Amino acid sequence: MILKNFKLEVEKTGICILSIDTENSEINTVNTSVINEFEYVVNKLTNDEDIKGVIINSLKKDFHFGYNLKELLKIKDKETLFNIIIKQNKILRTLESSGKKVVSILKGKTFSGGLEIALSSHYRVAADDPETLFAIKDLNFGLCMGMGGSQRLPRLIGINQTIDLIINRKSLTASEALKIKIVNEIVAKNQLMKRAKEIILDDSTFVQPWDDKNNKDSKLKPFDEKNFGFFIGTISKTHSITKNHYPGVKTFMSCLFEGLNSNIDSGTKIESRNFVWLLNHQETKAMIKTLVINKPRKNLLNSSIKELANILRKNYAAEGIRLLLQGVSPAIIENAGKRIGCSEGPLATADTIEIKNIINQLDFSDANVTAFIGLMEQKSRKGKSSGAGFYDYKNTVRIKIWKGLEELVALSKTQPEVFKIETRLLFILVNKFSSEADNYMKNNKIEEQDYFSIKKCNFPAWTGGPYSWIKNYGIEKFIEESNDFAENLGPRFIPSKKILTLVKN
Amino acid sequence: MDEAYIYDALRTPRGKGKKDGSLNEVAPVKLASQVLKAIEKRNNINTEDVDDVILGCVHPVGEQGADIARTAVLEANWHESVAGVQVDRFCASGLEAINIAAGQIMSGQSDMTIGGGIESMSRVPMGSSGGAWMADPDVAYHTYFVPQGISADLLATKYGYSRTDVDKYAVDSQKRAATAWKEKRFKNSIVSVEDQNKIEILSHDEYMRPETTMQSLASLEPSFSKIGKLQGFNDVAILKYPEIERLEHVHHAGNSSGIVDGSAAVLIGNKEMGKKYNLRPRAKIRSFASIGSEPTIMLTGPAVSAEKALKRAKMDVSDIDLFEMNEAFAAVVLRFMDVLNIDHSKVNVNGGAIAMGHPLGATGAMIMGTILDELEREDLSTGLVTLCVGAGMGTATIIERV
Ligand SMILES: CC(C)(COP(=O)(O)OP(=O)(O)OC[C@H]1O[C@@H](n2cnc3c(N)ncnc32)[C@H](O)[C@@H]1OP(=O)(O)O)[C@@H](O)C(=O)NCCC(=O)NCCS
Repeated sequence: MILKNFKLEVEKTGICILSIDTENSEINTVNTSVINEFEYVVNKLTNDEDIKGVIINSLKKDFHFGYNLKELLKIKDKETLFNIIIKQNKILRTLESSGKKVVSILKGKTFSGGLEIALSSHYRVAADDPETLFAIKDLNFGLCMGMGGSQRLPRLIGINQTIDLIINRKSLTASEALKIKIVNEIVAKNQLMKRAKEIILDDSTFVQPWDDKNNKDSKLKPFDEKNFGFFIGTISKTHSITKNHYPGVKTFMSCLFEGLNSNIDSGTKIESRNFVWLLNHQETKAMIKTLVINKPRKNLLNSSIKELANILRKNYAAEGIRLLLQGVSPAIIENAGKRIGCSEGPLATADTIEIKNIINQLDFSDANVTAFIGLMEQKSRKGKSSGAGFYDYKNTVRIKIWKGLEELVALSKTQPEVFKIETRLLFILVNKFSSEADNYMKNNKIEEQDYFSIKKCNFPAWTGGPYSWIKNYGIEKFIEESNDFAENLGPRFIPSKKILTLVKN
Repeated sequence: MDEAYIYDALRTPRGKGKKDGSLNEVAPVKLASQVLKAIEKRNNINTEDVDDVILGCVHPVGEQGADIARTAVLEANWHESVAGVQVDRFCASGLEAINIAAGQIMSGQSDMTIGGGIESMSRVPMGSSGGAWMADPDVAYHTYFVPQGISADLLATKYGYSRTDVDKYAVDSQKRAATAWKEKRFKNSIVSVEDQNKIEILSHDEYMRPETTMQSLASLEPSFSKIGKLQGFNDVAILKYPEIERLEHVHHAGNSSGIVDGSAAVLIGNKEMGKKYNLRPRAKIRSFASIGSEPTIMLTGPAVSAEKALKRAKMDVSDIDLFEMNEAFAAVVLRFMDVLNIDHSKVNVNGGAIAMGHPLGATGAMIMGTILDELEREDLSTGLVTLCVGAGMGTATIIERV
């Protein structure tokens, strides 16, 4: 086999240097042909009796390694996908259990699959360099580990520390990684290879903690007394923050729960099944497409992008006031906003930006809103900075909805279901963004605008951006319902030309 | 269908469920076996005639594991032919055990059975048995899991029970329990716990605080506000109930059920068994029911299970003379009375778990004994026992004196 992605050098001493340098990519990327080659290489060297040990090295700047998500997303058959992931995991398992000592040398960013591969080596030597960093932040684009990391990491550093690293998407420096045993040793960058060779040739034992029969580390299981409270607290906490979006978070917790009461082989299978499920989730796909695959190469933004973010916030807040005046209870309005992924509800947002500042976003159909804002001013309910608005405040900390609101507005006896309010808030955000975005950014492709809506305008990431969200919602359905809204509630819901052209494509 | 008669009901006193509680010295199997022995002795039965002993226990692990019912049968030196089975319907386990025991009689498959329960909360603490309900992320997300205390505060918030409402209820519970003890209303049912030398360890419910007033309760901090905030449980509850802006934490150590140790047993049999041992049937089981309800608010099941049991018995709420509704948390009882429109004067007339404690698996069987004694004392006829249950359930049983 002609190797295109790996380099194998076998030295007389019995040391094999396996260098990774996947072709046509800036960072090491795993696609099916890389996996096939990897399998070939690993089988070859593990069956070679002359080889004592293997050094894994990256020829690129970083030790980063990751699945080619574009390729994976194209695979429609789940079983095919599962078999690919399982194959990659088997390769790593073969490597760590073949009887050869495996040492990885880590420099630059050891991220994602890079760290997962490093964890399947017996010894990890890191470069003494501020650029040496360790992290698995795949949750940023909705994904969770798929090369055994969710099983090896907790078995190495414990459940609680794993949760902290993954859920909080932390980056560790080399010395931080050393402290919690993610790396075994730090040496000067130019000494990495030399040191790795010494380790292979010395007589130190090399058994992974999860293969060590004498290792009865109780840090492992969710049901252990030490972990239980923290574990169920983390489930609750993540549920309360993700609000039924970002399924990768739950998937990660499931990998721990299901996998840690098992061994490494079943554990990696459990992880692979979860990975396939997650990759097929609509939200994950939307996030990966927008944030990874279609990530803009060029950034043509100017400072006015902030103004666009402000316009969106004001319109979001204004819609909350309109809903209130229609009789929707403040609790439902606020919860709807948080449920779609905004950091605070529309009325809280109105308070934060000062209620009167919303007025410049109102249109002719909003006479009652203007009048109501005037009434709030009269009652000295101006917003957060003056300590009184839709909410009561104590030293600028929001306490609760102002009781007096009940006298100013008549709330309906029967309240709408919360998802209807969520939809309406998303509609206003999407339509507003779409009709304004071209004025505030030179990147005018919808994929680029999806990206910047999330990165610069706080658009909820799970949507993959406004256009992705419309596509998943159903373009025609969206346009039809927008027109209905426009007819009943005002022209702000009229879909933009850009949205109308989505239908044609 | 055969009639299932209650011939007797006994319980231990309730010991404080902490390491300094009096019953902390007593292993759970001994607590259970002492009540079985007392039942045997008082009714002078040949245990060979008992077909099955069904005991509720919510944390059947460690020393409460490996079928504590059968273990207690053996430890009590009952005949080896007596079977034993442990059941878990969370807080209603003790009542569920009675229902199963009665069901065996009604279906003609057993002649004499025991339904009861055991929980040593000081030795096998709450939470010991883990569970997929809260720890499997799929299940916990899907069911919007929150602990009972958060559910109780959610219930109070949703239905508008203020701190004053729940504290007032708690003061009443303490007063009623104090009167009941003073007038020795429980004396017929209490089995003092003894050591192997027959030295008495505990003869009264030691958790009670009869001096409780609105003022003394007012100084207590809410018990569930910290975990509710820090661990995100409040937000999970609101995710399920978006009509609620924020949770009001009204429950605390003084208006929640106390953590205690104890066990209880109820002797059930058919008519023939009564005749054989010359026992007077004290009541018969009219009907029973268990139901499932929304699991996040969790504690709304009692009214639904009571209605289901009433329907089966072709009875109306007004046909019931007395109710025992386990005082898991004050708001749960308030809600139960509101839904069924029952006056407080008919409910928990001798106080409840807020004053005396709630030994999880045993409580259902304990309050069955309490209602039976009270029906006899007042010469009333019908009683309904019900408990709220974890994960959103309710269990109810209706009895009638004969
Ligand atoms: C509510 C709960 C958490 C309180 O637990 P706790 O804090 O350990 O309770 P304690 O009995 O230690 O009481 C705490 C404090 O309140 C005080 N207190 C309790 N009852 C009181 C009363 N009636 N009047 C005045 N003070 C009282 C105690 O003196 C104690 O104060 P101290 O620490 O200064 O002595 C606990 O009782 C509980 O979880 N109950 C529910 C059980 C349950 O969930 N059962 C299953 C589901 S129904």
